[in-house]
Amino acid sequence: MGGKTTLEQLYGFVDDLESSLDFDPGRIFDCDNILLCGVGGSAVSGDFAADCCYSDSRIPIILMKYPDLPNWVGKRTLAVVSSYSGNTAETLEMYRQAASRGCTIVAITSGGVLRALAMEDGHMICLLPSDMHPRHAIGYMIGYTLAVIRAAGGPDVSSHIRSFIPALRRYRDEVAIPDGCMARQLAREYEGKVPVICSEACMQSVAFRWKTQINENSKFVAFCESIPVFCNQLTSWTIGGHDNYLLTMLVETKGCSAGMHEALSMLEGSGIRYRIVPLDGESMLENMFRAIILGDYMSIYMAEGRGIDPAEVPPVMQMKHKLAAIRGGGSEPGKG
Amino acid sequence: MTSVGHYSSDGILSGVSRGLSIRASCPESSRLAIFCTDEMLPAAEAISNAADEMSSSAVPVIRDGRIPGWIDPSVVTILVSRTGDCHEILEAYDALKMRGCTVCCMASGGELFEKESDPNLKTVMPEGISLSESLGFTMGALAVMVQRSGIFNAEDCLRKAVETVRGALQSYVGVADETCKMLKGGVPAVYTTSDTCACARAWRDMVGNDLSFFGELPEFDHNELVGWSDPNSHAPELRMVVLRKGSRTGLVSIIVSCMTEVLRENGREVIVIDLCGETAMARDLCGFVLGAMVAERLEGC
Repeated sequence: MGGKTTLEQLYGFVDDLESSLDFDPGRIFDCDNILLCGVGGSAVSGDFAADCCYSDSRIPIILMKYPDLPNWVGKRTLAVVSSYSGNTAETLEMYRQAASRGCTIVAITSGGVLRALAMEDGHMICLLPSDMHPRHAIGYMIGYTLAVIRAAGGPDVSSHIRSFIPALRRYRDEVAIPDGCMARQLAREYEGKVPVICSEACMQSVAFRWKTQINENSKFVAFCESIPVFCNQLTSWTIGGHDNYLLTMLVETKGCSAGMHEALSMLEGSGIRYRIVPLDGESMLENMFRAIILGDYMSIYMAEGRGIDPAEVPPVMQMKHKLAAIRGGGSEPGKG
Repeated sequence: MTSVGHYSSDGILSGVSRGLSIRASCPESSRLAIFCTDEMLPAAEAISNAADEMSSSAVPVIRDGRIPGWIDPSVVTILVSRTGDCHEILEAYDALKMRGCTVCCMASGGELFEKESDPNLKTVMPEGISLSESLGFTMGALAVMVQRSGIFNAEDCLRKAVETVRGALQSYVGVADETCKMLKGGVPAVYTTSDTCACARAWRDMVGNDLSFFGELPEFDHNELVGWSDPNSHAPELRMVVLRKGSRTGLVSIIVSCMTEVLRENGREVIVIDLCGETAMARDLCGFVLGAMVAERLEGC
């Protein structure tokens, strides 16, 4: 992929986010529900945006990562269809089904088949810059998704995000860049371990992002969980003594839920190997972005530690070739 | 709480039958949401999956004590807590009442039932039954309540699903035996397609004495596929299980087949199991029962 390196793209996340906050779709969307369609790196923005808007959106916002839309999706649904490449098979199928059901559609893409279809059908397109790695375009994708949600009557979080942009830059420069920074420390701690990332339900998208970045950049298995549901499993964890799993708790230091307190109490003295990652931001929203920055860099440093290229994902290319052989060209799984 | 000894295939099916026989009431509504955070969560998710397949309204499951912004007095809510003492569910109850919502409670008792004084809004979960029976009961009772609300024919769908799964039970005995052998001593990670995500969560709860994980397809193919294609020599005990639809047609089936090929070509063994049933409800129920069969065998190993 041409253009900036992976680290340069990561560094640019805050700038990308800031520039996308000004995006104005230029219209109002009248709908009863919002469906955020996408998979892989292109679904992260929808996942994140849904978490941001959870408590304040009067319109249900539902994630869709499956190429068979629910029966209840119809003309009153706003379908936000995201695929960085514009060529992801599952996402194109979601687009086609949304279009056939008369949904209002907004496409978020850098081009490909999705752009062509949306242009032909007269749907709005939020055009992403090209020459980025799909999973590192989330600064733009989060901003555009939030803007569309706002235009559909959802909450406006842009000024809140703008207020902590300088703090995010400082955070990035502190935890992700210097030699002994937290991102590098975490990467070393994960050597020889299976990361299990746990957050509160309010930021489950962030734990999921950590997992998928470790999968794709570091090429290791990782898992994620969220409180309070994970509390049901914690008792069982103590039985086996699995020292090769490192449970990582993403904890807001300025106020966490009773469920997280309960989980931390269960962990103390339990014998389970765990680590707390403190999130010291002034708000949940700021902490979500902080955690994304930290996790993304950490996964790159894990890859560096293994001596592998974080950008290349050969198994996904294998999938692409197999699917293309069965279905023909023009649709690529795994390119977000 | 989630050890394998608490699950049995007979328990799940008898629990479903028991749940389907209750005289539950639920106010009519065009909008409904279920709140659940404990081991009954797969039952709620199975109902939600069925709604996605056949209903003109979604039945979202809230896995948290926080109330989504879109819930207003027009939304009928069902709160599920096996003990009736789940902190987040009690929090949700208070918040929903403040919002003016109708709240139906399903529990075996506890503080939830002390809060709700209207007997018509309480569905009593039998006490002293196994986790399997509780899970089955919850699925049956929720199906009845959802049908009473007018959202969709969940009860009818579940009754047909029970027939399908009972009919296929014998054919899964060998599958359960083989799966037990492959999982013994390992840490299972169970994946299924999003339309039947409930059974992957149920397997995570049932199978795996202490540590287990779950996830969804085809999202897996865009990230986890890379991780699982690595030898992960630091975690040789990991075992991957895929629960998939029996039919081989359609984009998702093709994707799942390609995915298992890629994993095997990269040296990763995958246990692949076909779920019976033409509906998401049937496949989720099949997954629950099969998970319990495997759990029973692992307990006996």
